[in-house]
Amino acid sequence: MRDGLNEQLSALVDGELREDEAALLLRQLGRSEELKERFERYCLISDALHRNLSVATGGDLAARVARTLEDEPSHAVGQQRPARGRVLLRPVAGMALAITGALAMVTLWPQPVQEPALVQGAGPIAAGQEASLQSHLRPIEAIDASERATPRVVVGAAARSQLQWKRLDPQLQRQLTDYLIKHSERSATGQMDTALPYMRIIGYEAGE
Amino acid sequence: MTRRLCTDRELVARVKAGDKQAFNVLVQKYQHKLVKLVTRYVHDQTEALDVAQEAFIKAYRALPQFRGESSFYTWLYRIGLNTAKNHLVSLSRRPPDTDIDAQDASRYDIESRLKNHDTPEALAQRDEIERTVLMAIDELPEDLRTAITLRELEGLSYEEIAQAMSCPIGTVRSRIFRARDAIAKRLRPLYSVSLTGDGL
Repeated sequence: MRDGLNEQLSALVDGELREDEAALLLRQLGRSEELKERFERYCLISDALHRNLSVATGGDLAARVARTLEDEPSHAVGQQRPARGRVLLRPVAGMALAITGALAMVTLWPQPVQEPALVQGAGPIAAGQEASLQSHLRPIEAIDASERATPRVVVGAAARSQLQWKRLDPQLQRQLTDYLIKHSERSATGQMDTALPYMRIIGYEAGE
Repeated sequence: MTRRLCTDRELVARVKAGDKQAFNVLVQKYQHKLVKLVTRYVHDQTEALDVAQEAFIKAYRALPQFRGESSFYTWLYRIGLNTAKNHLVSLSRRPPDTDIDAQDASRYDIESRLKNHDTPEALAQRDEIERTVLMAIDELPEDLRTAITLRELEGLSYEEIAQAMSCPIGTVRSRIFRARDAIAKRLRPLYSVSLTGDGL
């Protein structure tokens, strides 16, 4: 029995061990110091014949490596269950992307002060007063010097977009309203798993 | 009929499937070769062993990326070489400009360089092991000597040896084992010293 195992060890050195013998022998190699030592001796003979021996080779190198490997995860386990860091990476990356997008929106959104043509006279405009907003608007050249000296209020983005909305063709308004309703319904079902449900991006060009 | 054999490729596949013991077998098979390679660059014996250990650990960690386009040893050789060079760089020592190819490594005689760094006792012990192995082979019965010589020195497979010696593969396997066993018995006194002492 022992000779049979030793013969298998010899064949293992040569890469000539049959696959059906390998599993059992490797298991026994892991358990038996005697087998391990014999296997090392057979390898030593082979290396001596090929003049591969080095004076630095201590008998414990393989043991040192084996001890270090005990703390390493085995590869198959690593493939079946990704590391904890990898599991967390995806949602964290998604969240980071969403936050970046939101920050970019806040910081890069065009400010109304850049549009002097929409500057108007004193007095704030309530959200419900858009109907008369058109009549309030005048080109900046038409505002006289005394008016310019008084404090000015800048029309906000919301008021401006309301005004643009009113200017739209009623049929187009209906189409956009339908679209927004459908978009909200779809977002609410959670069928879109990205940051997109929380974004409103509508493009409109006159004449389209 | 094709025999499925447990070659290095199979051992690597086993490691990838989670069998650490298969990697230990690869370490035992190649530890002397790798240490010899490392000592070409790192002359201090203790450092060389540390570097070799590091190279084996790196190889284990990188094994899932090993696609088997070269032999396992050629791949391990590159890792050993890079680890040794990086070790020299980390110590602000300049690594050699030229590399020795894995296939040519055994042909290079660098004994003169090693002699400056190795202890006479360690060198004598290594030479003693090599001499004992050759003497033991000379004393083997002819069929065992032919089988082990064809395998170790000529590099023939068991199948080729079986054809050359006109005998079954099982007989070849048995003869090679018996030859090794006889040599190992002759080595035992030296081997027990080398396991406990410095050097081999």
